[in-house]
Amino acid sequence: MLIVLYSIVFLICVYMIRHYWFTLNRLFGEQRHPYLDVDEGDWPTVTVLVPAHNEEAVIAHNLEALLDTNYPHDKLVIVPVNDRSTDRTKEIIDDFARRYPDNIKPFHRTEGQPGKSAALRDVTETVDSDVLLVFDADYIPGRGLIKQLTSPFFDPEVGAVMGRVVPMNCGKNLLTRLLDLERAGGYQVDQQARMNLRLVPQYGGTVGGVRMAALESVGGWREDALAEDTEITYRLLLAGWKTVYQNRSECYEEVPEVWPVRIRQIKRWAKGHNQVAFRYGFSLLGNRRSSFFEKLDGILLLGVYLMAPILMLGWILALSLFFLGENPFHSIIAILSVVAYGALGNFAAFFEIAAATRLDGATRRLRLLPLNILGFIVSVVSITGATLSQALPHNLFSKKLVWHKTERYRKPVHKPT
Amino acid sequence: MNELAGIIVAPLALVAATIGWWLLAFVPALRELYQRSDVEPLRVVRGHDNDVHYFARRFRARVDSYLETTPASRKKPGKSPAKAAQNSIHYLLTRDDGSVSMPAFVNPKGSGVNIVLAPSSVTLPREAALLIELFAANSLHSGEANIFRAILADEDISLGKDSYVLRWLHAGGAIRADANCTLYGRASSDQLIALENGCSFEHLHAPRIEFGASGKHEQASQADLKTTPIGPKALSKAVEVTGRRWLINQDVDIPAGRHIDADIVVTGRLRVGAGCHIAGSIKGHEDIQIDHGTRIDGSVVGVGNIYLVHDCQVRGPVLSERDIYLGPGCRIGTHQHRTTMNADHLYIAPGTVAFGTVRARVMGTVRTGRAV
Repeated sequence: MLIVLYSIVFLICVYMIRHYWFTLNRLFGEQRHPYLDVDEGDWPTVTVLVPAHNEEAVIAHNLEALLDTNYPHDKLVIVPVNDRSTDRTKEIIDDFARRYPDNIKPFHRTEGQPGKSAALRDVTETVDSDVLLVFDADYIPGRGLIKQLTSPFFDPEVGAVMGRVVPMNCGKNLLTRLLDLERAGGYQVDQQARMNLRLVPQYGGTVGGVRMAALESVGGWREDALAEDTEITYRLLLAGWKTVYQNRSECYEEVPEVWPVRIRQIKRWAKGHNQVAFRYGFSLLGNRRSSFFEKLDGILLLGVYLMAPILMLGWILALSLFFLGENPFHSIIAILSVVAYGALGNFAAFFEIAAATRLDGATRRLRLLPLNILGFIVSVVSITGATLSQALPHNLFSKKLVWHKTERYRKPVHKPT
Repeated sequence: MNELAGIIVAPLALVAATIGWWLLAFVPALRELYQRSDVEPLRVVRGHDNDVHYFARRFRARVDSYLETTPASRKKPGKSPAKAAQNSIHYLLTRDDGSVSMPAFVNPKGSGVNIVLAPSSVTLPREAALLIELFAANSLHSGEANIFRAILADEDISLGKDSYVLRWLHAGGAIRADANCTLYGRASSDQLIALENGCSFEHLHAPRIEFGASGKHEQASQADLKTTPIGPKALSKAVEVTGRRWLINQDVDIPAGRHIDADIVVTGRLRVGAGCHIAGSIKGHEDIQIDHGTRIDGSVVGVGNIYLVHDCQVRGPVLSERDIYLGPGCRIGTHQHRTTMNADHLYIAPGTVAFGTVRARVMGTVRTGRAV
């Protein structure tokens, strides 16, 4: 038992070092933004996909913002993907399509497998542009965002790009404020450090995009993917394509305002991530197109959600050994290690969050940091539950997928003309 | 009794103190939670679109708002005494003896002047310094060794040698900078920017940018480039072909006079021989050298330095995470296809022309000499 515990502590320490490495790099290292200044070029044709399932509250804002971008409109097509909405989403989309027939070409799904991956797969077959960008329906892109996200594709090695999402409803309650801190850590430090260190920035499925040629070369979207974003990041990596992160390509999003929605969201992410780990972990280790550090980071990234049940096991083992009186001195060290990890290590990544908040120049919200222990505990428990349920044979091999839609909080405002 | 109290109270006090000590860390958090002093979303500027004319546009709006309040004041040199708003403008006018009504100050702080305005074409004296935004309604000709904070001109701007612009400049006409000028910040023109040898810059934007204005800029047509095709396997045994992309995991030397219709990604050093035609883009993880007379239809992206020897032509963006060295006679972009070139340092030989944006993250320099 002690050996298992020390193995867990070792893993935890690896993740802790990783967090410190990223954070210190972000604070003191050389920052890479190689494509940010590209403002002129022979821009590729772009299709922007907006998956929408019952999005009447937000879809109009999104389409208006996309139409207002400074990307050459003769090279831009916006495709709202309405997947069996039962509210006014279809009506709103059709109204926009009628007013902007050259730029808005809706795709209404009424059959086939539900889920974002399946929807993306269906609509991608109809796309003939060079670059495919994806925005969730609740996102509000800025004027220059399409150009910023497309500029990395001038690099023939880039297969996917990811921008930064910024919570817009962060002041709502404790949960949204904690998620705001967590997002800051994840993007401002984690993703940008990966970009700086030439590791594996992650395509996040929205405020980002893929090169169509790269997507086709890896066989397109898998419709049975639980997390099509992580899935495509790894498939591109295995095929020698790079994913790049653009920290200054920012876009507002809504974050969950109630805990049950947040728990569902993180469970979905955990299952999707674990599925990718299960499918591609070993392939990545043997991949000759990736550098040693890309492999290391890729594996650690795949293991992030698996660490939750491992951490829980570590706590149980440490406490059990302590109360059983077995080698108490070492057990105390083990407990301390685990607790230290809880304070400094994975998930909460407090140091990362603190650094990110400072980099963002929003210092007073940093005082909330100790309360992040609450989000951390909820995450660990939720992810552990999701991972264990996923390990059940029935779930491991089930291909039944549904739209796990995150609830929206804005009020619908669009009145069709 | 005392003993019992000690047994009960002491542990309770310890527990209470421990909990209190632990909760102390939460005091600032709980205070912020209830005071809500920092609850606004991080500022994402929706209007931010990398517009190079941003400062010029804002300044123009400011100038217009001032001019609306001072319609008649353009005629008199120096400050117009009529209104407070007029007092905030200093007019640069040419006197009968040919001298210019320069302001008495160098640093505008405390002078009450917000804008310096040249209502007609003006030629400034040697070593003039204006550390305040200057608007020229026509053309502006600076003397030698002038220093400006920022300039907006509706027509041409010509800077005398050894002059400095500290923030930005924009011209509706051409910008011409004589030898050894330094342009910090943004320099943009709606027509042409021409920089003489020895000039330094950060960010240039114009339909046409000439380096070494007195050098030769018209290059022989490369439409009749004589090339022979080369396949991926002939180029390297370590090549993987995925659609249009050739991924090569080693150093690569493309022989002179070859034609490749693909995108090439090289994980080592890349050299493209003289007179080649790449009908795609190239990317190198180390240095890239492109020999003379080569044409690339797509982009050139380098993790290391990029060297364009001379008379090369690249239609797409040229992006380096380090430095770019351009020999004479190179052309980046075309009239029809404006593009972007950026790097930490840019060393550009006279005779090179770019179309669109040239940006140095640290500094760019026009200097005589070959790229390699």
